[in-house]
Amino acid sequence: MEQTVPLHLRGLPDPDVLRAAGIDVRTRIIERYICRQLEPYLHVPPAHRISTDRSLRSQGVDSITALALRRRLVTALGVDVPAADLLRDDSVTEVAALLAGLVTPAQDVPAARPAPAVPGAAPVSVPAARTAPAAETGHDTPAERPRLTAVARAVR
Amino acid sequence: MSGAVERTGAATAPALTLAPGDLHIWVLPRPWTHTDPAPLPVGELDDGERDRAAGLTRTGDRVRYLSAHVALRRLLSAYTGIEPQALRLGRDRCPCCGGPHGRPVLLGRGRETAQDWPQFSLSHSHQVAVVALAGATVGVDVQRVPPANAVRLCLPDLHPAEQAELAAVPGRRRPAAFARLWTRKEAYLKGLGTGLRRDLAADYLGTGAPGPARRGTPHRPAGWSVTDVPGPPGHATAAAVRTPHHYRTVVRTLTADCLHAEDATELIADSRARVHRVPQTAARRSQK
Repeated sequence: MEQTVPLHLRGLPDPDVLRAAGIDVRTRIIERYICRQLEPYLHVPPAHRISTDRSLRSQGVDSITALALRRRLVTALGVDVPAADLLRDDSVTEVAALLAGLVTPAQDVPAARPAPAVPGAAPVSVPAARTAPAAETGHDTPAERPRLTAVARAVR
Repeated sequence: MSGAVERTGAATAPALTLAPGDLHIWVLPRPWTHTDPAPLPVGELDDGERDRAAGLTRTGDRVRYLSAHVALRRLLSAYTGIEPQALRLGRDRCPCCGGPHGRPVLLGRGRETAQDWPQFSLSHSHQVAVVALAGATVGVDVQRVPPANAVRLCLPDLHPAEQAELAAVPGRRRPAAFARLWTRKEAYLKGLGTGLRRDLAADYLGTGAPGPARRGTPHRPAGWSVTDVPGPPGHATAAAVRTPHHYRTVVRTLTADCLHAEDATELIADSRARVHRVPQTAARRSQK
């Protein structure tokens, strides 16, 4: 059954309410949240809107904006995707669906893992005093990406 | 160079060459706006580049992308002697996952190697596009100074020593300091070919000088020379070269004429250079 989202919604609902909502509603709420967060960064004129059918990169999101958005999503939703995934060709709706699929009551935050070994890169020593949540790499493996993309696209 | 250039274009002697240890930076400052400037020679681009540009929503982004790629091809033409439209650009393998989204490279038709062709990197942001060329693997990044709010949100993802350095900068000057650090980091990550897929806290790209006076300050990545590049106000630029022998950085400005002239090679070759020599102590430090 189609559920409605209040048009006056300015922020995200209570986390429990969000988690209790159906996947379609969750996707639409997160979709709007992403658009609202990006409008000041992208200097979107009042008469225009960020398109939910197009990718973030195609609408002017650069690496710093993606990283800032990722931080806001971590804080607001408690879920994480790598900033690199926000800059792929997925539409805003697909990104929102991906996040909506990760917002679950029994969410297990993946443990941090070191950066992958890269030829020519300096050895990685992940600092102990890192202040950021270390889950941003948790979903960034080739084996996991197709599953996440499938989640995102199934809802579209 | 991972691949040889397809020699179907009218190959001539290169107008420009890279001396061993050279890093050449070309800066294209343009007031890209919401209106199209003079027509660009987009026929020199390939279908992928034109499609990518067509997918950009904002006119300014689209014109900047097209301008940057026309500039890139014309510069590569000056360094290889191959016509711009005959150059085939592609992507190396991603070192993280093996996918086809690693560093941009010149592609060849066969498997032959061409060690003498330059490596390159391209970046553009707001009102600047930058192309870097070197004899070794290179990454370049340019970034408009971000708003303080974005800086605050991004800081926790950096290396702790980088966070500490930026925290010591007065708030008003912090966004510019962050932009300089960020471009060093992203230039290095582009050089690696990982981009943002690598943990941003894994590498230190700060400005602290290691030694007794700064005990505990980490080293920059070994084997890489990472350089701040002077550029237009309101932006930061940096380049990273994977080489133990980086002697000098040559910075040139690419004029608008070089984008629109029918044959820009001579204009490009005559561009005035600003030379910045890299102190050998700095080069040695980066290798540790």
